Amino acid sequence: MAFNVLIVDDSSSMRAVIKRIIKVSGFNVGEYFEAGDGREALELLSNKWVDIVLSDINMPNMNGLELIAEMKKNELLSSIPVVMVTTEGSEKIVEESIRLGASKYIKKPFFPEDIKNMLRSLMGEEVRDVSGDDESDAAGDF
Amino acid sequence: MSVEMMKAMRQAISDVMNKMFFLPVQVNEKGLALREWFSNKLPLVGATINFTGSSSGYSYLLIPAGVAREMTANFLGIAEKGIDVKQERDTVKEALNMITGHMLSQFDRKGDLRIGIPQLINESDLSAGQLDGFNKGAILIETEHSHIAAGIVIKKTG
Repeated sequence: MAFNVLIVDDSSSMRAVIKRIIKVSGFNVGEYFEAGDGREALELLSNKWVDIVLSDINMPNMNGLELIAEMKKNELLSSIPVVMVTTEGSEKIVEESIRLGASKYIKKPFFPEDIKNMLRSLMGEEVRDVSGDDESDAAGDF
Repeated sequence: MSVEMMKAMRQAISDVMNKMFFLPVQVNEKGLALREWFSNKLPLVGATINFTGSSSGYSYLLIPAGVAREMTANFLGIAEKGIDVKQERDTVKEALNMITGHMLSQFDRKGDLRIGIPQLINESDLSAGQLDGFNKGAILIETEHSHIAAGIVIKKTG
């Protein structure tokens, strides 16, 4: 069954890169949605069904941590997995993300396989192209 | 800039350029002024980003327009001819964001430092005559066919 993805990043280039990686990885994605910050993401989530959110942390208006906090307050949004895709890699930020309910994190810079492996583990879906499953330290479970 | 921070910055530049932009780089140790380093490489695309916390300051990234286009093409997986200036600028800002975040995560494990939002540097501040303003903390970097530069300036230490 197809799943919908929301990519939240203030860099349009980064959103395009993540989208391209997911596309070429062969996942059965229904729709891709994009937002430039947490506020835009919440607005979109209020009228579109999304199965997984990939979000940057450091963004204007509403950052990724504030976005998770708002989602967890909302009964309809609280169960949607949120993956932090971010340059922020300090223990303090990671701990804060865990406390707020993030499912996983991927640290920028990342390999395409980090995104692919994360999606496979969270969405439980086989990918058509299973080559290049190399291990990497950029992605981590909470 | 401390030796530790300089080392982390060099590593971050190399990691980000290789991993995200498929652009092998090498630090140049000649210690040239930026106006000499970029003597025939203008115009440049530049970005800067502030960080605050136990120390505060900013980092910057200066990239010749041709290299910015090459990086953008590699990053987005599209042909150079299909790339516009907005995409080039966004790529340079994102590259600096990743370099600075990666550098701080190596240097600042406790997370005392917070980075801001990357901003473009005005084109008028990147003319040959204005480049000396960025010499402080500059790291000169060679790509396969060109040059780039990055740097970090500490304004306050904790």
